[in-house]
Amino acid sequence: MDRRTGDKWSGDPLLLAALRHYTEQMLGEFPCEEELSAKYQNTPRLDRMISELKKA
Amino acid sequence: MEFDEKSVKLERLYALHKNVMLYTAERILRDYQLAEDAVQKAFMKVLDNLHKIGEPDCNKTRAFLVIITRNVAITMYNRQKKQAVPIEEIEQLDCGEGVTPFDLVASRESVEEIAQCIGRLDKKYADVLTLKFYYEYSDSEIADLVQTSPENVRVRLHRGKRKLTALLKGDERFNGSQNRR
Repeated sequence: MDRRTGDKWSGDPLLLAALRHYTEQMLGEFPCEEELSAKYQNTPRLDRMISELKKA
Repeated sequence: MEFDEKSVKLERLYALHKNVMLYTAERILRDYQLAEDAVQKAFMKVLDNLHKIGEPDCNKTRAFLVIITRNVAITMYNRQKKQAVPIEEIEQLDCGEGVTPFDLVASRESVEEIAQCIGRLDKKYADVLTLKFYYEYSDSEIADLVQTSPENVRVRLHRGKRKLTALLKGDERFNGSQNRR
């Protein structure tokens, strides 16, 4: 329980484990990284945008 | 966090998770350039929360970036279609806040069942529940991350809890005394 807010869902170990499991399942639905890398191997525009973001 | 440290961490996150973020955004927006814009916007949000992101190369971080990208892309899609982002009416946040449905379940297999129920929720509810209880973000931080108001986050949390509780209670295994602690 979150002592500050009194929310009993906060810190519930079963909920935490389930959310972890849920996020793992969610990631499992994506194509493998190899496939994604092949699809997005050339991204000069985005690379530039992120590079600008780092400088800002 | 120092500028160099931030820059290195951002670069690492980009190198590790750019592809899955692009894929997430492109699936929603159906346009590669818009997907790139969504990933850039997602990284702007990441930059504001960099100090809260732990190990870059782990599934917890990867899932966080997917959730942020998904929400940025959905907002862009709604704006593109000139649909108003649904503003849910504020309702009284009462009932059931003091009791959790997890009090009814204890077995190891239950984790999987609860995860499946979370997966059956509308993504807008699953995302705020995940950001709140797994990543431990505050309501206002979540509002910024998913581009809505803190009031709407509270409504989504309340509804998400209610719907998840209903899903869990609808499962016979969660109703019997055999699973009580």
